[in-house]
Amino acid sequence: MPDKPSDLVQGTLDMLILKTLALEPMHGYGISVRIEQMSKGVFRLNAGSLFLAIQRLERDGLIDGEWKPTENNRRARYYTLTAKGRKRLDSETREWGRQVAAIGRILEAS
Amino acid sequence: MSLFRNFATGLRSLFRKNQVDRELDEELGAYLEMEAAEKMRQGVSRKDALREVRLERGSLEVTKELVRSGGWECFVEPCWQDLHYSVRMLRKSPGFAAVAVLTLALGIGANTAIFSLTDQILLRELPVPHPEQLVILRSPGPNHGHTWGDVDQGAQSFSYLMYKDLRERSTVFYSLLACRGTTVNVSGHGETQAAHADLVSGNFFETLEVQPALGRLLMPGDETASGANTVAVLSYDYWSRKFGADPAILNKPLTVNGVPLTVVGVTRKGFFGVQIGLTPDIFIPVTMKAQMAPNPNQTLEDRTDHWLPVMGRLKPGITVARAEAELHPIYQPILESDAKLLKLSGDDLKRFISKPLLLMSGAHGRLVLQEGTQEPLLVLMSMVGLVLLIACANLAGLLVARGEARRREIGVRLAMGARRARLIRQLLTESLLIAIAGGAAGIALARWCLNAIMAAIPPGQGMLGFVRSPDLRVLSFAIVLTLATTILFGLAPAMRATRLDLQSTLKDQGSNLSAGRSNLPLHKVLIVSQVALTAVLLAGAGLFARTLANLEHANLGVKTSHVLQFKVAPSLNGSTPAQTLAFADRARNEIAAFPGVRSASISTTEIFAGDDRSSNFMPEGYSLRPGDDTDAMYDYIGPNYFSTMGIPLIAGREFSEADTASSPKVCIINEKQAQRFFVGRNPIGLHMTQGSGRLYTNPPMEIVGVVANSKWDDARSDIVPFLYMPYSQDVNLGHLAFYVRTERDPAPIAAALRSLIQRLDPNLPVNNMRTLEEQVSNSMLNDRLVTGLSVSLALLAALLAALGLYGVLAYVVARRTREIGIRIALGGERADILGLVVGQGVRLTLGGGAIGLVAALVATRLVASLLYGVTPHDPLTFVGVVALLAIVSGAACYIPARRAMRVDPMIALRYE
Repeated sequence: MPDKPSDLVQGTLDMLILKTLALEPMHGYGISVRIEQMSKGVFRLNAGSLFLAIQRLERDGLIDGEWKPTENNRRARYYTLTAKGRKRLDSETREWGRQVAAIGRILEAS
Repeated sequence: MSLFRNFATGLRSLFRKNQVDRELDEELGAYLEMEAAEKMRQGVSRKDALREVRLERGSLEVTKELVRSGGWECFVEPCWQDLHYSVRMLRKSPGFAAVAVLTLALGIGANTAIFSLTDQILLRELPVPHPEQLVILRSPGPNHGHTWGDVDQGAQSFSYLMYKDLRERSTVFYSLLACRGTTVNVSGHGETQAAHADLVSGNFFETLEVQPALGRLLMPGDETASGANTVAVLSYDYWSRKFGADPAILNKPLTVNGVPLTVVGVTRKGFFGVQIGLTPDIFIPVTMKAQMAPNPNQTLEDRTDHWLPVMGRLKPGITVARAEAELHPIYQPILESDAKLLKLSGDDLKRFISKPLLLMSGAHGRLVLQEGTQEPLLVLMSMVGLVLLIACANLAGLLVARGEARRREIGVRLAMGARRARLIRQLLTESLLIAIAGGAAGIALARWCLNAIMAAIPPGQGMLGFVRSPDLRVLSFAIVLTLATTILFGLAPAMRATRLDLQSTLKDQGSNLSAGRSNLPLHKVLIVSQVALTAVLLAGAGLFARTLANLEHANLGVKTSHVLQFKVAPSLNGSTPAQTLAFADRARNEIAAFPGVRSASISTTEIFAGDDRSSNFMPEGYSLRPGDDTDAMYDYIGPNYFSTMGIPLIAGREFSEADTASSPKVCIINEKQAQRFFVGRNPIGLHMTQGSGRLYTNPPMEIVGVVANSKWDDARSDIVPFLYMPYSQDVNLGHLAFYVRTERDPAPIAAALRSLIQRLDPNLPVNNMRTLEEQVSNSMLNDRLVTGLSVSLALLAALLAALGLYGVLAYVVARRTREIGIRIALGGERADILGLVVGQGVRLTLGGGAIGLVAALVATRLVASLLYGVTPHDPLTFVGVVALLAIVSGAACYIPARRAMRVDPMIALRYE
């Protein structure tokens, strides 16, 4: 890993978790690994902030948790995206795109 | 949806904490396990992998704490802990908790109860739309003819024709109503019972804007001609009470005073007429006066019969001043034509026609009950106000002492790393807990007090229709005040304590000799003010107690023991004066023949009931000088009246069976009357004539006896000139009050008397059956209530002050134990130690007592009019207050002083 893992942009963790779960239901560790893989090691999640975010999303009804056995016969809580979560993901993705484009335009100017 | 979900999850973590914790553990455990497994796959040993993972992720506990603190419930939970802790702390000092809660309960309860009463009597407006538009008409000045008046010397009573003239000619009123209460007999189902009726003008309900609950109310069309309007409206209360709220009552006949009236409607719930404390049962058109309040001499058309109170609703935007100005030119000609009718001349005429027509606010209805109760209620209000202050001071003292005593505990907790905010919150929780418990107990106490007060009021004292539940506004005021006290005095020490310099506190408390006095001055101020307020209350209570004692032992001129009384009104059932006379003679003779009855007699006006009649009586052979008052109270009585009442005969004879309707007219006067007109003459054989000459042509009455003075209305009233006539010569005989003197306890004979009257006339209700002692005691109701309440309040205040003083002294002794021990070890006399503690208590009491007595000297002057036979600066009472304060402070000093004297130097030096 060439670079130090960098901090997440404020407020993006929720969106990333939703995005990860949009592909398939996953447990906490799975989410953490998937985000690390997809960001090619740029983002490494702290367990505390991950579970805090999961708890928040679950209470807001954006994801659903369910205890299920894992591949190696442990029990883990798997999270699924709800319909409401999917809608939220869409709107946040769009908003994010708009912001990134805008920031890009500002940075490219001059 | 998500809000609900959030809430539900939060609740789950609050109440199923263990399970939620376990799940979180498991989830995090699984997370670490999987991460370690991943590392092992990369070739690290399991042990190392786990260690690495833990290091990388930080401690598991911190993560858990972080996740846990994410929800809202993490705020509630410590609050719950605070509550738990507070309850535990309070249970550890039950004395403090009990005293604090009791103090609050007393302050809140007493205030709420008294204010609820005051509010209902003095402050509440009539429950009708826009009560502020209502005015009461009054015309102070001389009236000629007959005047009936319950208040204001009859200035509020008008003749029916005068009322009609005003109603037709005045333009400032939306409308003008007339209403007069009277007692009627209602018969049905084989029995006859007394009821309160209001004789009202046809526009009564229209003026007050009252709606019916059933049927219709009276209308102007119901006031046509004398005796023609046989309709009635029931009050909601009477309808529910007597007829079970049965709608079938509509258009049914109701026999009132023997006249069948058709019930046309029921007023809406909560409407109680125009006089607080007197809830009418039936509303009857004023034109039915002759049938409902029979008085053969005076017809509806009699302009000299002033009997109708009149109220108006002013048109919007018209002020009282403007209305009075516009009424003057209307009222003047009416008075002048009345004067012509009365054949007035000279000064009489001048004074009569210059009578003004004034308006006073009618928002609170007719102020009859208020007249006698306003002052006692205001006094009681002030007293409970003082009690509330004392309660707050006491509570403040308790809380400050507790805060001081806990400095060390707080110091330790701060040293252990507790946050200030959290500590303050915890102390606040404790204060709130006390306030809430005190508030709840206060509500219970208020209910109890109100019930007790209401139960102490005998029926028929004009306190009908009162609510016994505490007033919400006062309750909230008292609770907010005590809450503020609790928070202020609970929090202030807490804030101070948490701002402590830790080092010095922990050290200081361990080794200080004569203890930091930090909050003691505040404490002393609180004690001194408590003692001062208590002194004021005690002085007031003492004066009231002396007043009641004086009243109870006042010479009434009547021997009240072993006398039973009751009242009947045959005229209400249509009985003529001649029939009533026959009934009276027969009943009197039958009762006198009863076993156990010593004598029996009759008067036409009940004594000690606030009813009186007066008239002008001209003495024979006496030339009136200007300023001479010929007015005297009078009553018609039967044979043996004076022997039955125990009023000594000074000269002449009592009335006898020989004084009949046709025999020569006779009268008996009291000493006061004899002294007024017959100084140096023997009045026996001389004559008196009723009336002032022009208006009445009554035959002169021969004075056949002189009797000793006796009181009439109540023990307070002055002795007035009085004239007695035989009831056999009363041409309007209608109401009879029987007095029966018995050999032994008169109460058991009551039932026999009732059945005797029932046998003589089954349709005649027997009212006010009670012993004369009860009757006298009822006439002192206000005094008994004021005395009872003020004495209990003052004693409770003294108890609170004692507890407060005890608290301070005990605290001082506890803090100075070490110092006392050293003094004793160095050879200090125990007497000096005693002086140390007692001296402090005495100084505080003296200071407070002195301030209190000075305040009391000023305050008691305000209640002078409520006192009887005792001056506001009665030395005995003030000495008593000082003595009581001395006893109270002595008792409060005793325990701490004893504790101080028993200090064992060895133990004291090892103390702390």
